[in-house]
Amino acid sequence: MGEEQPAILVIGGGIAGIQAALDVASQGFTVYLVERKPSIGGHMAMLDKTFPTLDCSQCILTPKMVDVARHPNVRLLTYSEVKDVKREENGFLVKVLKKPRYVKEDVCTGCGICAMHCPVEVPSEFNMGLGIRKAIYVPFPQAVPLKYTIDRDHCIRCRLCQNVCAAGAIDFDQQPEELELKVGAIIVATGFETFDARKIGEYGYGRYPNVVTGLELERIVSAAGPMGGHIIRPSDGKIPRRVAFIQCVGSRDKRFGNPYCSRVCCMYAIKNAILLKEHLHEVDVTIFYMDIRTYGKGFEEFYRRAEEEFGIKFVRGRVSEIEEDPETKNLRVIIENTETGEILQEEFDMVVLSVGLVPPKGVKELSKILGVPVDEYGFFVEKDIMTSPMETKAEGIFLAGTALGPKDIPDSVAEASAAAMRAVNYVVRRWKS
Amino acid sequence: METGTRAVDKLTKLLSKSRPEHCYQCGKCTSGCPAALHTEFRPRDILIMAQLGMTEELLKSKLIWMCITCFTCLDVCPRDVEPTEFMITLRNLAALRGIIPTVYRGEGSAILETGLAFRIPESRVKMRERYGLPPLPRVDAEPVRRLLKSVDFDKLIQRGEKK
Repeated sequence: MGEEQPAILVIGGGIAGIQAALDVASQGFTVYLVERKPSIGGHMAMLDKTFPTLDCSQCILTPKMVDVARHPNVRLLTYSEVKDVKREENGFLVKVLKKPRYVKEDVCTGCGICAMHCPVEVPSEFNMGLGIRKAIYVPFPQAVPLKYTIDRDHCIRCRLCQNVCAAGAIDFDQQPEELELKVGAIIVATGFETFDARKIGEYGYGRYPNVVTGLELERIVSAAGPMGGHIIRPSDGKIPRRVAFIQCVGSRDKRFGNPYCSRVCCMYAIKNAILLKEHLHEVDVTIFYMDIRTYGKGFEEFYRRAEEEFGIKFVRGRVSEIEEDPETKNLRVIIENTETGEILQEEFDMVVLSVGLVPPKGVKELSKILGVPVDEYGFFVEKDIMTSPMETKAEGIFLAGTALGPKDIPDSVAEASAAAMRAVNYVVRRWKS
Repeated sequence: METGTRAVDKLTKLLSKSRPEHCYQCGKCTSGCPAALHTEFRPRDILIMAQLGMTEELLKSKLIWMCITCFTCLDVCPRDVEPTEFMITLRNLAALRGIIPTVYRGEGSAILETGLAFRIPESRVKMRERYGLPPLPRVDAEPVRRLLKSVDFDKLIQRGEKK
């Protein structure tokens, strides 16, 4: 390789991408961290607490977000997408499209006056549509970079933001920018999406307001969330007294092409059940499960605590149907307790669907661009699951986190560090020779 | 006694595309089953009995005849087991052995005689007249009978009958 020390590209700014970027950067290599959303942080930023320690998720994540953004070796490219990757003799030539924010990143101070004056309210993606944001926005207060973005699909061009911005950062004429990056290796950390529960008609998600997903509950429980940490149900704002969790929603289900286990749902449901019990002492919580898979360090103990210490009920069986009472909006859950053979019809105030993990949109296109295959579900395929789990069959391209398949935060972070080490090894070997 | 998947395989390859060996006992079929709500019929129990090789017990059991073939279980099954198909398979196998509940024998002979599964009672015909409804269409049972006899259906429904 040439004189210049090669850089490394990390695709995806969730916890895996952030960790990989930090580890590569701390070894003295330049890192480009590309994230398609306006802020890095990914799903972990949306979580209230993490299992099995009940640590505050943002308290762990946000310092890392700031670290990676301020690291002298990291170039952060948010609101940007990888459009093309060409293999060259000395690595890769990568084309990145920087989407226009219509706000000058180097001028915006993140003061938020623009959003205060913006008259357009849009359902907030970060709050799973349970709260609102403005047409000029940061996804959440701890966003990195703390730069506003104008959502041109909803913007009405009133230019109030332009009038009030003291820094003069608003630029409606901003154009998409194409950047060319020369890198020696690529780490793919593109993460996941949650399963769209609307596909399961018998659970009524999307039709019954009090049927929510696990990720929505995270936002409901979060003190910084749209309900200010008050646990209330969406239909009437009442405090739920009886809450059911339904497991394996979109996981271990052949009907939707997801026969795999999503690995995190058992633990996040137990965690959320404990959080509900801690917030509301009067609440009755039942988890309807098929198998409780608490495979990690401290996980089984966590499950036992939920049952013994917090009095959370566990009923084995898969719910066949949820019916809504049209007047009270309460929900009747129909289930066979497979341990007793009894068919139960129980009423709840709120039902939480433990949705599984699926590959994010655009993964097939990225697979083509990179020349790295995805499996039948859309997760990236590793070179060898036993001996080189972070590598791909395409030399110089590495994988980390849920881009490979469902997994929890500890595993994603471990993989990110492993992928960073592999990528650095790879470029050093080629650079020195 | 044959147990496990081998017994199941032998059973299912005969007549249907149902796969009882795929069942992982989640109970979704059973909680949604309208027959299970009012009887002791449990599709999940039938499936695990099949997996355990309890074919004989199943064929002799009244339970397999309690399925109303509404196909709700087929819609909700996350493993594509198709329990309804399996119940139909079991019934067919039981019928071949001459294990047929009386009510189904009656239905079978009704089809042979009238071409309809349900014998229309005289009182019903009179009721129609009273309300001024047009008479029911006449059914030609002959083609139905010929078809069923060609596959020995008439002999099948007499099989194992106590005279």
